[in-house]
Amino acid sequence: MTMKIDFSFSSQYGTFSDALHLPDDHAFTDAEIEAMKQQRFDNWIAVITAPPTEGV
Amino acid sequence: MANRYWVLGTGTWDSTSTTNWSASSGGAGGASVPTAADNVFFDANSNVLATAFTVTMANTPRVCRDFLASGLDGTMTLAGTSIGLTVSGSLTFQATNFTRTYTGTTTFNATTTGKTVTTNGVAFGASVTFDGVGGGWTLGSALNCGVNSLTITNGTFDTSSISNYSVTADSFSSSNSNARIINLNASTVTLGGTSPITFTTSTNLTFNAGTSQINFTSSSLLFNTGGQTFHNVSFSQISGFTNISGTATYNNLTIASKTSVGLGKFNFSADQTISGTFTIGAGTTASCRYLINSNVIGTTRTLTCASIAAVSDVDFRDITIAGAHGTLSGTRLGDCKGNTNITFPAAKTVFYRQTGSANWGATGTGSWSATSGGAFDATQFPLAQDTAVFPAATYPASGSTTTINADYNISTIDMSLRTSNTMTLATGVNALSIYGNWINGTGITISGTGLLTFAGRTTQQITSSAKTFTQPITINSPSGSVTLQDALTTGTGVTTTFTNGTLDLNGFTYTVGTAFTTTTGTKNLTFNGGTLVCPAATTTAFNNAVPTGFTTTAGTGTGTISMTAATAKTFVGSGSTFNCTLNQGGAGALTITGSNTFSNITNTYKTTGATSILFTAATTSTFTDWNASGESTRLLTIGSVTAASHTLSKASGTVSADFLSISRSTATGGAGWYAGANSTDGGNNSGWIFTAPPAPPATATGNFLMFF
Repeated sequence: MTMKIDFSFSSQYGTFSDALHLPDDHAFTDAEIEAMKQQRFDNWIAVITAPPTEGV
Repeated sequence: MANRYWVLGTGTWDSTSTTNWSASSGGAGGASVPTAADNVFFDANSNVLATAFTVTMANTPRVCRDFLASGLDGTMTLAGTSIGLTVSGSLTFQATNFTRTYTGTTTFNATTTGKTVTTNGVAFGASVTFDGVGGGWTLGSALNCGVNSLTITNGTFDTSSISNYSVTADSFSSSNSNARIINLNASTVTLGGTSPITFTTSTNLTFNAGTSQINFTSSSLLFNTGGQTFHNVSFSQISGFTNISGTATYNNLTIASKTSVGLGKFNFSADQTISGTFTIGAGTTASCRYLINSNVIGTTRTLTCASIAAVSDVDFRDITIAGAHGTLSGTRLGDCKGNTNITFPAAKTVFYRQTGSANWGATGTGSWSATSGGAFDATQFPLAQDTAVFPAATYPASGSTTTINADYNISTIDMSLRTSNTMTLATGVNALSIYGNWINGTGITISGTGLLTFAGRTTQQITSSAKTFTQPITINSPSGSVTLQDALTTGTGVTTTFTNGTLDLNGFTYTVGTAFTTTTGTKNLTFNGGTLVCPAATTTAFNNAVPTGFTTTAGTGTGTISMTAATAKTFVGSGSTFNCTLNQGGAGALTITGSNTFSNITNTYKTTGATSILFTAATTSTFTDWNASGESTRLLTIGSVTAASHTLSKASGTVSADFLSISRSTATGGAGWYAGANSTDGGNNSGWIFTAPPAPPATATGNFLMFF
């Protein structure tokens, strides 16, 4: 079974809302979970700040 | 009318030279060049002794009444690059000693009946057209147009009711409103092109199929029936896409067996009736499949069948089986939704079994197993109603790539167990239709550029696990929903297309690539607190291209559409109601087109720089709330795209903005529009009050307390 951890970050580009899906018996520490959240947000910012300029 | 005989061997048949034309067989040259009223003869006296000779046509087209090549005692070559031949009477090519190398169009334009076309095995090198009002032509031998088209524009084309001559061409076309008749008798017609029959406009067309057999040999084609009645029509193996348009009737309709791995797609644009037998050739294995479907998801096509041959390894979508055959059942039939009178096997769960990089669909024992880590079983290929699971362990080994190697119909694809054991799921250019859930594990990498269409028509979920979808995504799930289970991001350069169903952001962020575009259909965007982020700096970053049938639902919480590009971008609203906040989230000017209604408008970019929100002149944008402001030294410009005014409307309450630079803006609707004390009046404004809103009036209770 998995647990879902919802989280959000606010930014100048708007709110980024995501969820972590982790096993119920996961061994991640709170710090590691926070790092995962931050990584996802950072990756999203990277996408947002490098937008496409032309269609396919 | 005169007769003209070719003499003196090799020469040029042009519009002026008389050297090789004689008034009699073997007579002196110098006769006039034949006109469309003159018969031309090529015979034993056309050459010098029995030598080979070449008649090179020039000045297109060469014309004649009857064309008769007969009695030749040396090989005659009829040449001419891109030079046409127009025959106003009959034509006969000699079976021997005759070679055709000219490559122009051959046109038959007789206006009387009784003409014959006898090519005696000589194939044409370019298009052949029958185009004579009142003309009538009967084949005197098989007609071979090679890889070229055969067109009936006027008159009657008959394959001979006595001899039933065969016809071979790239395509057979008759699409106009002229009076014309096609009699196929009991002939075999073989067509190799990708548009083998085009009867698009069949007005005044009398098509007598007789007991003919029409064979299509292309693996991908468009068959425009014009609503005609055919006898037997057969398709060779379809590897790509085939569309049948027009409500047609057949005796037998046959599709050859699928022997190559993949999905051959058979689209029906209209209902069809098969009064004999409908045969869909069985696949060699479960991964060799056909899809029989409507050309429009959610629009049913009825196939009325007297009989259907045994069916296996076929997917169906939006197909109703009617007629004497009754309910269709078969082996490994895939349910792609919207079907009636077809019995499908119960949904099952299958497990990927390959241990290394391999394909989703494979020959032999296949790639799947009935149990996790169990034996390979070719029959366990995941059908459109099955759940396909990638086990956590060595199926496949970490670092492997699983390639979905065809446009397969897939229900739930569950990769949630792939975490530390990584795997790349590659879709290449294949366009996949998804009818269940898509669940990524954190160890998944997705690659591919083919379209992913979510078409389940029930509740579908996408769990992306922070994995970017490189494929364009289409939501086309009539009466269904697609609900995000976490943030979803598509790759830059790809588009999300919204056609049918509900897209529920479910509180999460959906970041699209090039554009979010609506198309024809009934579609609802539900936010439930989620955000649709459109980061592209394009004029179609958010493109409500087909607003008809498009609705939005706020749900729980506040939804947002955020336009984040650092350079100019456009929100194409098309006059819809957006039960969400529209956010200017990037430095580039945000242009809003259409007279739209929004719950709110904000500007989150103000913390780092100045930007603009521009409305199309002469539009009215209606807001429940307005919360777009700038910051000190970073004014938010509110203006029109062109030098004319736009209108902003809010029914009641107070707009309390600040640090705006406003021009060409009419604020109305009943609310108090306070631009704030630090805003700038750029001119041509109406309704804006360039002060802070007044303080709320003190209450009676307050006055009482102050008094004391």
